[in-house]
Amino acid sequence: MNELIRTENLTKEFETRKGFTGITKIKALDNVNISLYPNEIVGIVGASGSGKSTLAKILVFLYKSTSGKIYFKDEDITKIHGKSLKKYRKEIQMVFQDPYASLDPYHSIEWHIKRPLLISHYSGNIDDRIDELMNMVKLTPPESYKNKFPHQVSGGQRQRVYIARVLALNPQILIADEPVSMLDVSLRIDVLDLLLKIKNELGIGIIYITHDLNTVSMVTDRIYVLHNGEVVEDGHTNTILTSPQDGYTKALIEAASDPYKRI
Amino acid sequence: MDSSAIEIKNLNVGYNTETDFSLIIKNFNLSIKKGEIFGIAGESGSGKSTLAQAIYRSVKYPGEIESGEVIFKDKDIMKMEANDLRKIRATLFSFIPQAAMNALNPVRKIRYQFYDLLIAHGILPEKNNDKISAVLKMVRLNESVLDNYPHELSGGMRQRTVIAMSILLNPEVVILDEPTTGLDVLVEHEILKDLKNIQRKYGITMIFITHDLAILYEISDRIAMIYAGEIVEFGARDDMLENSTHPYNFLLLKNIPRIGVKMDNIIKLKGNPSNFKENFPGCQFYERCPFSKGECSEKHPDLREYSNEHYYRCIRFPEWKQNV
Repeated sequence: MNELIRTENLTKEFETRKGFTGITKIKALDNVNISLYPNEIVGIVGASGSGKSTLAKILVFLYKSTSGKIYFKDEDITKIHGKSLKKYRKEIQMVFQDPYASLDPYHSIEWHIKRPLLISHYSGNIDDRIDELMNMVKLTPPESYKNKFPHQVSGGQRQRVYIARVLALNPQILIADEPVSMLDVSLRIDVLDLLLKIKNELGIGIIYITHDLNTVSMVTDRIYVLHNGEVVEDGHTNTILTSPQDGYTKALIEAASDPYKRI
Repeated sequence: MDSSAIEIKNLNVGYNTETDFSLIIKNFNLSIKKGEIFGIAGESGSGKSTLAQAIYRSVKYPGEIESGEVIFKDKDIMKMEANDLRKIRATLFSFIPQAAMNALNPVRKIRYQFYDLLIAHGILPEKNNDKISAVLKMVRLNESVLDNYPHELSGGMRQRTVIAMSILLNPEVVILDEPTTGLDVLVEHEILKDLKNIQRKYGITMIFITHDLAILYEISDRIAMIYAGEIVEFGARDDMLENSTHPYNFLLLKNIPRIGVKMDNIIKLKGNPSNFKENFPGCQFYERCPFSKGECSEKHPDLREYSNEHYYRCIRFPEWKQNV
């Protein structure tokens, strides 16, 4: 099967001003080549400042890349705009880190899931679709959650509401940026399990961005290790975690927390 | 007792609501030994931060300390005069609250924030520059940070600065509430290692509070697990890890994502944290516990001793272990 999305020498530079006239360029991404196939979860791993969130934002066109190309199903989409960009955005969705900030506190959970359906002129029965989505993310029974407000449910449930919302448009790609790092221990596993379920049942490709190698080891098939904007290591998750080659990957593995280790 | 640094006796802390007063920390008893790292674990809403604030007597309205004693150096902190309390804070006893790295004054250089602390305790700052350099060295910061403003430092550096401030006046006890939350994994690991080194070298008693069980087990000597404002299990770190006596501790340990653990090997914990049930006669963990039985909802379990200094609050132990 062909790649869902593929980047070719993707580079992003940010400009910062120093003094009156000086402009320094900072390379946030440096010739990054990644690919994602349907029905797989790919992890992007790196410490803060490694460029992993920049990469996500470029893929959903919140940032423009400086150079390099992005292919969606073998079609060059680096320069799309207008209608074709709108169409592409339906295919790629993003889940953010903080479920406390990504939902609107003034609106009910039903409203949140209904909104994308209304905006995209969903052709079927909207109520049925909402129930279907809520069952999908295990907010069951849907009736007991629909009229609740974000502050009335737990962090894990909020993250589920957000996932239901992004799944409403049947995307082919999901980008999850640190989806569990704000959640309690007992809720993390559930959300990770949900990501696996989405992958297996809907066959979509998921890009899982995190600094936490522990959760990466549980859900991803392949990983890319990002350091200062460069991919320093990539391959199958098990291979990399059991025999890391790069020094940076080794440091990340050593820093991964584990109750059976001792500092 | 001589070996205990802090003794908490029958502490009751709660929050005033519009109509009522709801008790969060109920009849809390704990004794923390000198020179140990005592870890307190709990999920969000379990009352761990409230407990930390109560020990330091910095609970703010609508929170209120209803009753109880916190004995530190033969004195009850709860009954101290405000002025006496101010004198021991930071000198004998310091507290790093949650997100303390954001508490630095944004318009003042780090150097003067250190000076403020010294002046507040009646110490001439100019003569103590060596001391400031020494604590900065302990947390492995370059002295040049003294001439920076907080926004010029990274999150990890600010956190180190706050830790340096908290140990500047050689306190005997330091309470750390989520000291590494929000930091990058690599930075977190470094700071934890440094904290442990400082603690071991100077024999400071540390109370370490976090929701992140994995790092708590990495760093602590003894651990107390809190659920709904109560200790459900506490004991030495190794005992807690190898011989869990309470299902909550056991299940949380099984729920921690780790390298090399497959999803199928995980026993999931159902339900949501922070389900405080007032006036519920039984065990607070009853609804989420996969091993619970009818009797669990009727009788509130007492804290029982399992072995030397290892306590648990479950009436089904050791029976439930056979059902795993």
